[in-house]
Amino acid sequence: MALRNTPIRKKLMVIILLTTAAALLFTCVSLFAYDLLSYRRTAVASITTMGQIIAANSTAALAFDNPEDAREILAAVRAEPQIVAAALYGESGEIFARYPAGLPNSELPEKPEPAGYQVSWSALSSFQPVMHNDRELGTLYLESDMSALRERFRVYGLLVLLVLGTSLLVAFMFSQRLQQQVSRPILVLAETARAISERRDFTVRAVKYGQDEVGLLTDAFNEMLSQIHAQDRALRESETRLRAVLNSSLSAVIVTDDRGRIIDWNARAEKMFGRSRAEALGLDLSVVLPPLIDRPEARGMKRYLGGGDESLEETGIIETTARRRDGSELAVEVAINPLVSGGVVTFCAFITDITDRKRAEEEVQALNQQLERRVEERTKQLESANKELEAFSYSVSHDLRAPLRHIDGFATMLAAHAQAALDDKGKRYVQVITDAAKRMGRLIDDLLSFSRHGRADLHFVPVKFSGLVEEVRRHMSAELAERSITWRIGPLPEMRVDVAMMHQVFVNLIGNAVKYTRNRSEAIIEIGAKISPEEVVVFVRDNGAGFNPKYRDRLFGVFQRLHSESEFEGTGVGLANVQRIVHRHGGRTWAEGEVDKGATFYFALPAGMMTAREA
Amino acid sequence: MSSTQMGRFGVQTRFSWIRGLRVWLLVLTLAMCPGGYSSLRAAASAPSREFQIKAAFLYNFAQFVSWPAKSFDGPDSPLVIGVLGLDPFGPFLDQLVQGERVNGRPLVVRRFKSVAEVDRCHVLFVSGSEGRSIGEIADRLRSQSVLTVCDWEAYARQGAIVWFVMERNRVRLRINLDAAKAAGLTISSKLLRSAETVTVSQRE
Repeated sequence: MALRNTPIRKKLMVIILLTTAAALLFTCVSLFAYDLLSYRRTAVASITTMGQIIAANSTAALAFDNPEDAREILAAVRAEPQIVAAALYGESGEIFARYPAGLPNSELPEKPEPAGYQVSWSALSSFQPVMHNDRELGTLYLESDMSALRERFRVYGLLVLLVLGTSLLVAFMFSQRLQQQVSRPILVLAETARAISERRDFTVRAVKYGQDEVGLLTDAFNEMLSQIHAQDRALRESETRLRAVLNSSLSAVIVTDDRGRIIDWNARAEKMFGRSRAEALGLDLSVVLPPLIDRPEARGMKRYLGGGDESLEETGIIETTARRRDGSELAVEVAINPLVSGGVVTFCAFITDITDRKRAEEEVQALNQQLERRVEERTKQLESANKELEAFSYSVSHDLRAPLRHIDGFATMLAAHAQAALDDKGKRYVQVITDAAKRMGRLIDDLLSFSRHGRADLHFVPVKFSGLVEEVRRHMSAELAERSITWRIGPLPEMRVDVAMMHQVFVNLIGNAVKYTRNRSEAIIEIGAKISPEEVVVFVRDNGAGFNPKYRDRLFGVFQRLHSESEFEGTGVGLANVQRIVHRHGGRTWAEGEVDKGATFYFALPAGMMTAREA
Repeated sequence: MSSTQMGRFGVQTRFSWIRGLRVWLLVLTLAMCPGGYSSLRAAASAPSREFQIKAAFLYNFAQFVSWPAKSFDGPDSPLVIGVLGLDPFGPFLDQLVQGERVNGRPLVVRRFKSVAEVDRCHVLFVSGSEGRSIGEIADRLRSQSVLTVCDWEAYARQGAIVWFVMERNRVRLRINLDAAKAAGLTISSKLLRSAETVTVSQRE
């Protein structure tokens, strides 16, 4: 309806006038229609009655063929001026008499029609039979002029127009004054609302005119205004606070809308990128940051933007290069947080300048590289020195064996040859020489084997440690036969190692345990393994002589011994060998113990070498 | 209602073509009936228009005149239209009244050769052939409730109640009110209105 957009004042006016007009029109039309209907009914009744009288009177005239008489009878309708034509038709349908006398045939129906009446706009015509004693003698036709009806129509029409016009005029004048009662408060309210929305001044209040619905609306409106005012103030304060927080942040904070346009920009960002906030707002984020969406850290964000995922994920910390206003670049760390509020998605980028840190890192890296190079150099020097030393000691050891064999051989031959010449003292001296030579030979052998273990190539194959332990015990069976030892051997793994060398490890460790429990009436030797995700730790524990923990670090050195030769024989090479072999397998060794309280020797190998947990 | 009466006295039909059809049916019926010959002849020798009108008037008198009850034998006894003397109407009159009833009484046409035969007659057309016995007729009928009708002046002056007068080629009525009163007949005012009334005194 076009009325929808017209001002409320006009609307009220139109409503009042339309209602008035409709009511009046309806009333007038119904009265009019009723009057017309009753007028018509009266006309019909009147013409019927008259017809009946004339018909009754004209029976004899028809029966006895007296047209003069019939004319006279018809002429009686003169008394009714609205009757403009009348005619009597004979039995065979011919016109018998007419009124007025000179009426031409063309003005009358050619033939009588069945009884009845017909109303047209201009005339009411009726046919009635002329009956006498149930005999039909002819038909009477009467025609009444309806111009009176037309006249009535005209008068009525004028009246309706007049009434309508006057009423509308009065209604207009009334409504002009009365509609203000309704429209003024609404207009004032509307004006206030417009002023507020234009000036954003929430301190304005609408004027109230009465206690009707508009009055209540005004109250509600004012109440709403105070609430908005309060909320607006709170919002402003909160925003100021938030801005202060944002501006004091050490990171640059940039907020963009879902299309990447910058909608917020804090003080730090101004400093970092050389653009004021006003300047930055509305720009695309790409003027500052390169596109990050394909970075693995932005995976979740990409999924969201691709429409695949409902949940928003913040990015991880992305290192990238940002661009200042002058085109220079700086290293930054960016984390982007998606924020959803009220169905609107914004993205908040936190950007930290890491130029200094980057530089420090680079310096550290450079230093490290330098250091590594130096270490490498030193290691090479050390290695070559070591090799030389080893070669030297090997050759010395090797070369020492020949003179030693001579000493041993000739001392033995001397003992046999001078059997008689030597007294007991002489015999003892020769014996000491022989023993010392033999001992020296063992030392040299061990030293050579140690050296060999340092150089020989390793062949890794899966080896069952439990099998190794069994084998070692079997080799020592002669020695063990005289001993009472309780063995506690736990489950041991199968590992990919050099079988000969690992055999040597177990020979040394188990041999030590057996040796240092010699003075125990009840020796207990425990062998087991602990498996962790990183490494496999194997230990050999005994309740033997133990050692002073103070010297724990010296245990694995070459020729380092904590006990005298007379107490426990040995060369001091066994544990050094163990350590060397384990190191060459990428593992480590250590020991725990106390004097007279037993010792535990551990070696650990990387878990990756394990091929079976228990074998 | 007989088909013969259709033309003039039949109920007015709504559609003229039906009327036309009925005329044709009449002709067909007459042609095919065994006794149709005489009817056909009667139709062929129909009276002049003047006498057709007069015959119709005779029939119409039965409608506009009241007879005293004693002139009928009973409530259902017929109303008799008589023709005294030479009959100018022929079978036309018979056909006209055949099957018609007035106030429940059937109409009957009787013909009398002399006035002496007249008995139980209600409308009597006295033919001009009876001029010789005018005195006797007047005497005999004066005391009876008979609507006497004639179309000749002599009898009209001697007691006939209704006189058919030809005026400008039209049949007009003159009614002698005294005679009617003497005969004990009540004539409808409508009939009187349509006729010319005279009294004896006026006549003489």
